Amino acid sequence: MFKFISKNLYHRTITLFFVSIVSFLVIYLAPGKPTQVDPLNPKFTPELVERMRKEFNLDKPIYIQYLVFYKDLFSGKLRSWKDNQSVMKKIKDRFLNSLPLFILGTLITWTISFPIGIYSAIKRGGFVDKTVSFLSYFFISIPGFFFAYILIVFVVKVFEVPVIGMNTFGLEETNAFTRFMDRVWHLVIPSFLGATGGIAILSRYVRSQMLEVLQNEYIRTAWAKGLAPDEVYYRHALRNALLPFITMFGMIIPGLVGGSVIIESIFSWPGLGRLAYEAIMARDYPVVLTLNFISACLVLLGTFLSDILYLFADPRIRL
Amino acid sequence: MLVKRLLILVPLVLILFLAQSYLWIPTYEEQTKGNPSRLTQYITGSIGDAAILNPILSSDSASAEIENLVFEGLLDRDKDLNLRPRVAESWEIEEKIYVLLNPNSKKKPEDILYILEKAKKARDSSFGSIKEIRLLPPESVNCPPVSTRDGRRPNNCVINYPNRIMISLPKVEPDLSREIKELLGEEYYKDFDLDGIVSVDQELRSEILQRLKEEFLSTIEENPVITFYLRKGVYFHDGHPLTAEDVKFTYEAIMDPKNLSPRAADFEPVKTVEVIDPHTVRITYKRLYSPAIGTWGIGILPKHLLDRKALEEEAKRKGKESISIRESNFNRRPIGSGPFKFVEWKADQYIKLRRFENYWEGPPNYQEYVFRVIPDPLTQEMEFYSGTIDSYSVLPHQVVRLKNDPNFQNFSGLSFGYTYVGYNLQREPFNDIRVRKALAMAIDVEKIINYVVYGQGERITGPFPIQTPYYNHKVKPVPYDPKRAIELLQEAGYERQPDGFFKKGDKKLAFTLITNSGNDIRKAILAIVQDSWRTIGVDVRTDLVEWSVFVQERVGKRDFDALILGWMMGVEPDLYQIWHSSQTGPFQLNFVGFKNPLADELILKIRKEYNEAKRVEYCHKLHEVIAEQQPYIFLYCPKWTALLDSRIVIMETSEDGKIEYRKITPSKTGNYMYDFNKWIKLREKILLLDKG
Amino acid sequence: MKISEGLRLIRGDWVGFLGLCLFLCFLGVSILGIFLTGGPNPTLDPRKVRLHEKLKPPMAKASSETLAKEHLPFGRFILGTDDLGRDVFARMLQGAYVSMSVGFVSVGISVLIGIIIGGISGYYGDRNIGLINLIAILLLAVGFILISTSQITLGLFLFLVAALFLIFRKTKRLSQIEIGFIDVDSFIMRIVDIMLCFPSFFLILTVVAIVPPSIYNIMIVIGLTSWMGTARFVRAEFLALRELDFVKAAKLLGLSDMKIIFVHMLPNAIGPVLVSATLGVASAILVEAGLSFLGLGVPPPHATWGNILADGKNYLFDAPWLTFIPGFSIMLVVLSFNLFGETLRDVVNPKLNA
Repeated sequence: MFKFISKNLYHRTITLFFVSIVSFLVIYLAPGKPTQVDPLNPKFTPELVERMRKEFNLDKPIYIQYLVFYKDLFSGKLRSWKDNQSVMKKIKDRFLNSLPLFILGTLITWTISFPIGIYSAIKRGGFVDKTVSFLSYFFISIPGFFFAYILIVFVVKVFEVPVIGMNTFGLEETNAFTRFMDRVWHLVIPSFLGATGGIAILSRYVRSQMLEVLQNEYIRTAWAKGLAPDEVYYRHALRNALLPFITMFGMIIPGLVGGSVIIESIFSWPGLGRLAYEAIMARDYPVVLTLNFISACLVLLGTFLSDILYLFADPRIRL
Repeated sequence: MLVKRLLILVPLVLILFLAQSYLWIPTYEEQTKGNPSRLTQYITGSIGDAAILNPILSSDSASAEIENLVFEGLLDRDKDLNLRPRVAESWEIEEKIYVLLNPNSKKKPEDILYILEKAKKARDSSFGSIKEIRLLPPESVNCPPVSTRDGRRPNNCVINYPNRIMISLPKVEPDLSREIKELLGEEYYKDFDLDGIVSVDQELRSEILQRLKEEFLSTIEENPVITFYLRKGVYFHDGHPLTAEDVKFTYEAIMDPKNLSPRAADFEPVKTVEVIDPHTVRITYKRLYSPAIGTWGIGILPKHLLDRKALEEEAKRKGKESISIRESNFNRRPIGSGPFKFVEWKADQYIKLRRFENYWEGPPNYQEYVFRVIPDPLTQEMEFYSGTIDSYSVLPHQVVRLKNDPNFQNFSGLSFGYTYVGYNLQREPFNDIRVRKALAMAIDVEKIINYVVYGQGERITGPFPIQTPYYNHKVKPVPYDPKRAIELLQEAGYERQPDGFFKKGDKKLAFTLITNSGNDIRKAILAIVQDSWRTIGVDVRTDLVEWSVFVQERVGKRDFDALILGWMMGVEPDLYQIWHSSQTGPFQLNFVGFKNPLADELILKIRKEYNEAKRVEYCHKLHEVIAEQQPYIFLYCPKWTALLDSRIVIMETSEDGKIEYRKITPSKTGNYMYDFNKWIKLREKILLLDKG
Repeated sequence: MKISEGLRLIRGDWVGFLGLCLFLCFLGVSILGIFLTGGPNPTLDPRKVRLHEKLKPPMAKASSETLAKEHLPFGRFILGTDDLGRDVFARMLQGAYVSMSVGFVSVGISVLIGIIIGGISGYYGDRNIGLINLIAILLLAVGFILISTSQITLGLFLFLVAALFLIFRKTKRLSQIEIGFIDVDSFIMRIVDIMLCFPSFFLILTVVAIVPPSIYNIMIVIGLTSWMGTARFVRAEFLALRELDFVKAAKLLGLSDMKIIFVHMLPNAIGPVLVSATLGVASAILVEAGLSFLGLGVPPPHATWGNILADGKNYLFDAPWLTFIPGFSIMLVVLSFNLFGETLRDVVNPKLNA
């Protein structure tokens, strides 16, 4: 057991190391330099451009830049090139913004997918099943921003309420309860958008897992024993069908950093997705690399968690 | 079955909870009409967030918008482009001229002094205005901070001045130096070794010498002097009074190489900044530089919050060894002396400003100014219609749609800049002026103006902003004449092939036209220009390049055939960086490679000329020269449009308390916010007559 | 089994059948598009700018000025015009072809890479990687890096030498210098893990923001960032297939590794690859639309449906057809791919054939 964990961790650390090198290379070998240094702005004389390069260590060889960058990253000193703020602080602020969106989206996805998927499997071929399948396909096929615009225009024209932003502008004077509800409302539409795709895929997966389990011998035995349908489905079948989802739980973690740029742009949501997009556009290397590194850590953590959970969940696996 | 019940209950509860939150939020109606404090707020929508709220460090327009409200400079420009005093109440411009005396000459210093005094008494030409003539003994002075092109500085740099004569004048006399030289005679400086008076490290000597001579070093040095008299009773938002020390500090902060200020180039010609008394500051320049006075519109920084002591205290509080201005928290919580003071900045969401009650001109009418970040143009538009923002970056077709809507007022004016097609003059076929003229004739610019920018543009023919007197209205635009274009190409040696395209020898007339991505209007122009050229038989490919790559790889390295770009300019007609033949190096702004000796001469003359009428004359000539050579196809000067709620008007309170309302009218320069402090939004729309 | 039984299943399942029909329609439209809008003097010109006809709604009559110069079906703009007066119908036709080629080429690239990597990993499994191979792979990587930093000749040279070596080496003697703890499977899976650590959309965004925008670069980038799924499937299948008799027989017969992998094993492993490829095309089209929205998509003058949609969103209130037409079209096409892919999944999945 312990050997398994340590070997696992060891491999993941090596992977992380290589990821850090690859991401560094990708960014630095790219054409286009940071836009703080904008040569088409007449105010930027060649001397200034040169000095800025020195300031950002761009004139040193790559491996030195690599070492300096990671040293700054781990000591927390890293600063963004765009506005000189501490990178960690920027990421932390935006992360706290993205977090409720992410949590709500995941919550919606998971709590809705299961009942729908199970019901579709139980009543396979029925009306609900067919409708749900069709809607699922519909939602994963529609281009995200197209759907977002339609939804926004619809809500604004019909209900005449604000939709964009994290909270309604100008509501600072009211009481805490109203403000809380306001935040919830503003979370609804973006997380709903994010969740539709997830629900579509997850519910179908739940459905196919249930169907697969329901084919098994022991289920037939349960029917033969004369157990009530609820018992068969929820006590015997569901538990076994849920196995892969327990491990999927671990894979949710990387989603924390993968906020959708498009949804965030449309809804003026100041989240990590937009931070990453703006940083890439401005060639703000510290921010881009830090985000990359964090997301790699999360991916590795997530898969690690999945592996461990799988170990516990599936009694058939013995080390 | 517990599990089953949970499976059904949990999602249901969640959905109901989310749905009921709808009941608690205010509708748009409640937010706008039902909210009286909304009238006292002015809310703008912007696509990007500000970066650094420090006028000496920022270089993006969002930051500039906020800085213009929080900070204030010594002066700015009013609606007719004249200088308007702000922090400075008044100013005087004088000049000091230093004539270096040749120690090897037969003429003694006393002799020269006598000659000059005689000329002064005779009151001929420029000598007549001289106030004082004095003899200065030899003096050794440290060079001003100067570095080589790649940033190296000399350890030791001293200028050993010989005897000099200092001439003080009450105004700038640009011809005087020439007349003095005539008076001294051609022979006077023949054996004078100017280079010899500079002593500097040997290895950097030639480069440093060159720089010094570019900046000011010559046998006759002309130093314009501006003295600003500051207003009394100007305070920073924290109550500290603004004095000349702050002005000097701002200058020093800009020039400090550690701060990497993008404004340093504007202030490079400054020789010294002296504090005469707390409300008087004197600035001496190294050489004649007419744009000088305009540069003092830059926001004044508070010395007591950003000087060395303050920064050390901040560093101590943060637990660091030292911090520079760039790293200071000041940039996120600025304190200036402008009409609005900073309240809050939520990154990527909004910036809030509140009016400054102790503003020297009286507090502005609006109580709050909010800058909201809304990155998507469509949602910006929707927020505007719903009344939650007061202005946004409106697109031309939206203005057209709302022109007749009584709820909105719109204005437009010409902006300070223009859009153009630029050729890489160092590449074929653009080195042939006939080809350039032909390509220009193939494009129907009027159509572009009418249909791409919906008439929101004016045709231009040359490199100056069209609203300034420097623009030469007599120069005629290139006519739209595709037939003649084809003829010109044939004259240039291209033959039309059966498939319609042109060939010279075995080379097809083909190239690639590029512009930057993210600009819909340029994208549209790209398509139209390509189409026009294809129609006359030129094979043009197009490319949209992302901005950073566009600037660094294509433009910076001169790796392009033709491009579509625009320039945004200031009022000053200084075209050195864009059109002078010395600025054609990599990453410099004359990236088309325009080299014309007559143009070079005119550009330098304009820079030194303080006489306005003469400046206009030189500019008109320069305009002619450039228009004739067609290094660009000058397309149009875009009009900016703004859409505002029609209830926003200018409110002025007269001496006896009477309130008067006026319509907002844009200035010549495209600035309609120059008296933003006087704006107010009324509850109901009132009818105001246009005051012509 | 497969083809006849597969067809039977498809015909039974109307959903998949619908998907297949829509897909064939789309294919037909794109081919039509190539003929009608391609070449220098097309019947329906997607590039022609007619500023006086901008923003006309669908089925609007063209003005006489336009009709004098060109021929339009029924003298009308069937689907209206966009903000530059370009014919939306022609652009949609061209877009069909371009979007589809973006989808197919990127998926083709990703499937190719996935099969090669997954196949090698699955087949060689826990065999030791050998020093020579490691060096060759290193050279491959360095060559690739050199190519991307524009030192093309040297890079290409190294890349080709290493690739040729890896493909054609037969001698087992050289591979005997072994590195203890690295075996083929885990080495390749490490690489896959590294690639998976980059959130895919961001990787695409980063690379697209960096390289010069062109339709080919976008295809390549999408292809290079989505091969990991296929590689995993192929590897899983190969690990299972490897133990089967026919493979062992082939080895005994002395067939070269490459032949065994590509000629014998691959056709049996192709099932999940096909499914993933079909879904991949759908996803590639959506990714392209997303990139166009952010301004990083296929540059003009190529029209893709994503382009038209992204350009049209500014005119949502003035010309809603510019948004709805491409939006719904993308939806239909992606839907058809998804439906078809799901059915394929049911077809190739032996467990569900009850």
